[in-house]
Amino acid sequence: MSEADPEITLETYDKHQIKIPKSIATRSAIINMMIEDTGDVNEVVPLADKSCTLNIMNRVIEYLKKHAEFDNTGADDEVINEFDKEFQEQSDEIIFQTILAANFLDIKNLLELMCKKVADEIKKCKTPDDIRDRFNIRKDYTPEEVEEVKRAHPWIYDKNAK
Amino acid sequence: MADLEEELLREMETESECSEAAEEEASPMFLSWSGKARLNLLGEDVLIRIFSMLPVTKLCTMALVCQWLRKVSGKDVLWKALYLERWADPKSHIFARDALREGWKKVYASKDMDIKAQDENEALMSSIKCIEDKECQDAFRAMQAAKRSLSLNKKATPKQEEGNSAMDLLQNAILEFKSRCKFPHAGHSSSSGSLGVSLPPFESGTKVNVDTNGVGEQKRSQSQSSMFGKGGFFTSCTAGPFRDFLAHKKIFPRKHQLEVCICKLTGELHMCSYDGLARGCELSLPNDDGYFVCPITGIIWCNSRLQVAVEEDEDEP
Repeated sequence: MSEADPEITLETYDKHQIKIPKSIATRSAIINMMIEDTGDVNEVVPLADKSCTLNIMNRVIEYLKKHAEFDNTGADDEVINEFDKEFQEQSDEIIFQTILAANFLDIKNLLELMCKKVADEIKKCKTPDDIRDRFNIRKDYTPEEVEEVKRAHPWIYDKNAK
Repeated sequence: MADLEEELLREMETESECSEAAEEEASPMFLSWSGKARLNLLGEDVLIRIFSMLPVTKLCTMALVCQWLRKVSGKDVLWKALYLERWADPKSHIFARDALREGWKKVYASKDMDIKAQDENEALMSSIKCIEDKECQDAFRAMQAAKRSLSLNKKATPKQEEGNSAMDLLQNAILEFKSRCKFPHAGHSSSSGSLGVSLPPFESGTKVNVDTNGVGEQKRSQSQSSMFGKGGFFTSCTAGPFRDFLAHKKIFPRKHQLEVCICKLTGELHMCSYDGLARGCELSLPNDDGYFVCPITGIIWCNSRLQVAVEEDEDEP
């Protein structure tokens, strides 16, 4: 590592330490802010959000490194998209935790990417029941309440009928 | 707090097997948030971000999933964005006033319905070429609105009541249509109606002969030419919405070709099926012989075949 790009030590929520180059770390607006706050690159940066476990942070860092590489080499959109698409293909737990971590660390493009994955999953569901099944949501509506929601916005069901 | 986190992690691990059954057996604390389950782990901010990527229909579906998602999916920030995206309008601050009062979702919904109504009317108006009168057009729009609300009510009201109220609605709409157009009453002599068309008096019953000799086919074409050949006496359109309605009411089968005539003099609506298999007319009443007679055209329907003759002297004033 060159002097201009010192290593930063991150401490994950489950108390593991990860060393990454500063240029990678500062892609997270939050980490960047924390480094600037202390002004000391040698100080360990604690990640206080419970989504930032070692497992998840490794994935986040993989993403950041890859995208830093893309930026430096000026890779084709096609190559980037392929990587992103592959990166999206994970279990729900990992997707959700990655979203939370990206949200906490303020990594915009990673957050967008993973949110898009969830949105796509929602789009695959046709009915409210599908969504409940897919995302393990319990129905807390009574039949009367369902009717009430429908009555409040009859145009919705007009649309859905199409 | 730590307990809650533990629970959270446990659920994350066992989530794939986590089913209704697991929820039933779970502790009260587990239940207290497992009702919100997976998507809710993401928190409101992230969910709004995800929802902002969804099309309107899906956003509406989310409202039906559970209470919490209904709240999140109805957020102003989402609907305002949708509204501005669809109807980017520099004067949107005007709507913002409504939005403050009712929320953007409602503002979006009402605008959406306006647009739909407009589209429907445009389609309808283009099919009724002969109606030039402005008031007439307005009244027709009112009719369409009545029919639209009818089709919406249909979903909310139980089947039995629906029949009557639907028919009432249509009848009311037709009455409104007639009164708004200020048509003279059917059967009245009116040499120059509100539309300035010079027309012969036209009385129901008197100008009708029932053809009992089975030459309906020939006579029918004759009657058509007399119906439409009088300088715009009737306007006609193929009745898309009407046909759907009648098919729904099982008055006309949908597959049959249907013609709607609107008398410019009386404003009566008349629906004819060209294949002669019609069971009756919406606005006709059976005469003494049990035939259906249209009060304006004098067309007679019998059970299986259209058999009509219109007196020749009608054609001349």
